[in-house]
Amino acid sequence: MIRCEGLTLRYGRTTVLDDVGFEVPTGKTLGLIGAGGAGKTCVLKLICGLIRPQAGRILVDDDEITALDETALMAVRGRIGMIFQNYALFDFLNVGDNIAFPLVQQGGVPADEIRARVTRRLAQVSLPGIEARMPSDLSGGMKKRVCLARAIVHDPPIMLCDDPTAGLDPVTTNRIFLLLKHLQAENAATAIIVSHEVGYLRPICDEFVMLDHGRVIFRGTAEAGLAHADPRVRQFLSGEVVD
Amino acid sequence: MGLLRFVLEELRGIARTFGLTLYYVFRGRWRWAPVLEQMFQVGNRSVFFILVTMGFLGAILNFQTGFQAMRLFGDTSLLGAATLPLLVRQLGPTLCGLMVAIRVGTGIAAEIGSMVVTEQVDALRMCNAQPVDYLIKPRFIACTIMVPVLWVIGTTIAFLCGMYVTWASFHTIPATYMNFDLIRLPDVVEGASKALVFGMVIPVIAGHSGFAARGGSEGVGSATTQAVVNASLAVIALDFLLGGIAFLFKTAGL
Amino acid sequence: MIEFIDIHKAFGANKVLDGVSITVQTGQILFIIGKSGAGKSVLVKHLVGLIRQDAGRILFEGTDITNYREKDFYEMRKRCAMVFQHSTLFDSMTLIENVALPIRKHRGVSRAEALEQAHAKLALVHMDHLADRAPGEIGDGLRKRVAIARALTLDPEYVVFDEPTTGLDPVSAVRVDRLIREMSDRTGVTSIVVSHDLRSIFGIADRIVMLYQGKVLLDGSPSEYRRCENPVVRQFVNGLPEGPMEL
Repeated sequence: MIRCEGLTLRYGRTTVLDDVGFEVPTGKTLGLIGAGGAGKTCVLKLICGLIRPQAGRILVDDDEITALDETALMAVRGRIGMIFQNYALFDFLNVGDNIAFPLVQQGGVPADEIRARVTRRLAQVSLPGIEARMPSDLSGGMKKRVCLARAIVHDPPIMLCDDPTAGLDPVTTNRIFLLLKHLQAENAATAIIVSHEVGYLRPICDEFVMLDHGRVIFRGTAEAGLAHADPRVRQFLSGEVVD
Repeated sequence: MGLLRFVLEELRGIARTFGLTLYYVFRGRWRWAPVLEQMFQVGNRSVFFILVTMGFLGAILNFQTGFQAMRLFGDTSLLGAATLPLLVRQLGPTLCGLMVAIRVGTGIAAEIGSMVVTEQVDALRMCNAQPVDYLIKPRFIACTIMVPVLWVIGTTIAFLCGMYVTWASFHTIPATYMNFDLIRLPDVVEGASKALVFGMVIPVIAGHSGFAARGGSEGVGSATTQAVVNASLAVIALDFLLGGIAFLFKTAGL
Repeated sequence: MIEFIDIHKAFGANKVLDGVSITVQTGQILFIIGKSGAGKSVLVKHLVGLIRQDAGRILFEGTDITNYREKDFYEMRKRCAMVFQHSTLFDSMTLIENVALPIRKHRGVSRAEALEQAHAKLALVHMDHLADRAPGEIGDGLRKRVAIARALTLDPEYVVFDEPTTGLDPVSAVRVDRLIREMSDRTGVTSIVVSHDLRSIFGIADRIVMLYQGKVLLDGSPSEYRRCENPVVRQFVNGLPEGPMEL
């Protein structure tokens, strides 16, 4: 379960998030949508404790993220798999070491077990046998899939995906979303997906939250959104713009 | 007022990063592979640069001093003996420090800065690897070891180039130039401790600037510039400070 | 009219373009589509000399630009503007100053004159009411519009858009699409759009060229694409995860 209450985040004079609150029950998938700069990425980073809010509370299961220090956060982060917008693959490590990294850092997993898990995850994202290649040699779609494999290598019960298909063609986009759904179902994970691809999100998300200039302007199912009173929400979910 | 606040903020940030680095050096896990890799990088990146700069410095220093000495005393036999302490405790460590700040500091800031803007640093934190432990510690250890090494190499080269210039310009034979009468242990200690301190400070300052990078490629650019400015200023200021301390020790008769 | 004749381009062992021939008709909106990494951007960059072909010829209004030198391309870049995917505006200037900059630089007119011309361009993209804002104060979609206005400042005959809607939310994306259509209809400028956004492709294209494995797979109108039986084309235009397309 992930619950945010009254989140407020400011950088200097700009308010990025203003009283944001929502809840994702365990095992459910939330689609977080909104125009660029609405604060979606910040919400994900707040949930991991990578940045701190000026006000508000975040609960991940029973842990109150906002009250934990860096050491205590480690345990929580071990339960989260995060896909970053900019891939964030370590460019000084090859693909195999990148995927193994969370397990190596976690410690206590034997080397052949790590190798076996890396192989399995790479096969799962349809990129078998590329362990020795460097991230810089891969195409955008391949990097995203490696990123996905790294995010889920430690079987996290929580998945946070920041624009997992930005800049990819429709075929690859569709594949990534199917893969996400599959992996989420495999671990019965609680997931939050940030994306503009509302058409692909609708079949895999249980609920949507729409942010606009740092405020929540909609929370509910896609059907409720399409019938919503606010035209911004309707337009966003249907992709049909009426001026 | 704004500038003062900025300077204080920077100093506080650098001090915090320095403290964290020391903490991880003593408490964290030790991995030798990245340290050796970084030592190779630091040495490889700067040794040629330092050889050239220090070589010319030694030549210029001896030529100019020798020129003045000829005019005043008509004698250059003590040239080597007189310039060596100056090289060992003052010009050697400072020039080496500045060169490393330029060559290695920019590299560190650019590398870490681009990892920040591509979210790799966030990804490290998500995998429970502390960025200071993982990124700054190996560079810190590598520079702490390598800057003194470069100081020895640089000073030697400067001294040797000076020897050639005195021989070519003033016909002082190398055997006369090679005079170690005026150099004392405190000079060596002063030079070595300066080199050591510069080696410790440069990677921390550069890393701190790298971590502060924001936005895209322009953020990495300004972080790199900030790193080279801060690290060079730190080298000069610490040179002055350590020189002062050494002077106090000397006058106290230690 | 621009003619690409049998263009070949390889980066190391990777053959990106393997004999591509396309004719761009004046006044149209031509889409170049294909999966990520199919060489779409590579192809259009040949036009302004940012990339040189290994073999093949390019005719620009009948003039062979194949062996142009860097200097010869200066004039080409004024006649054929590019809107890059990450067309960054200068943060330290207002929107109007951003647009006025190329006018001042290339036309050598007074500041007031340049600002007046820039205002006209901003009005064209419906942004003149925000002229004095800074780029940081407006959203991604609006910044893209200003980038388009800046590309139009020197009244080019051709505008190349590199993935204009990538990274934009659906509402902003539709608005940018409409703007490209409107520009084309109002100024008669020829647009070449590199994209894999299906909504834009079927929303505003006059003609579509699909690149696949370094060759032109299909060259036709949107309705021809809808009718096409080729399994790879079918897979792409429907965004199907399973199919013959090589990934």
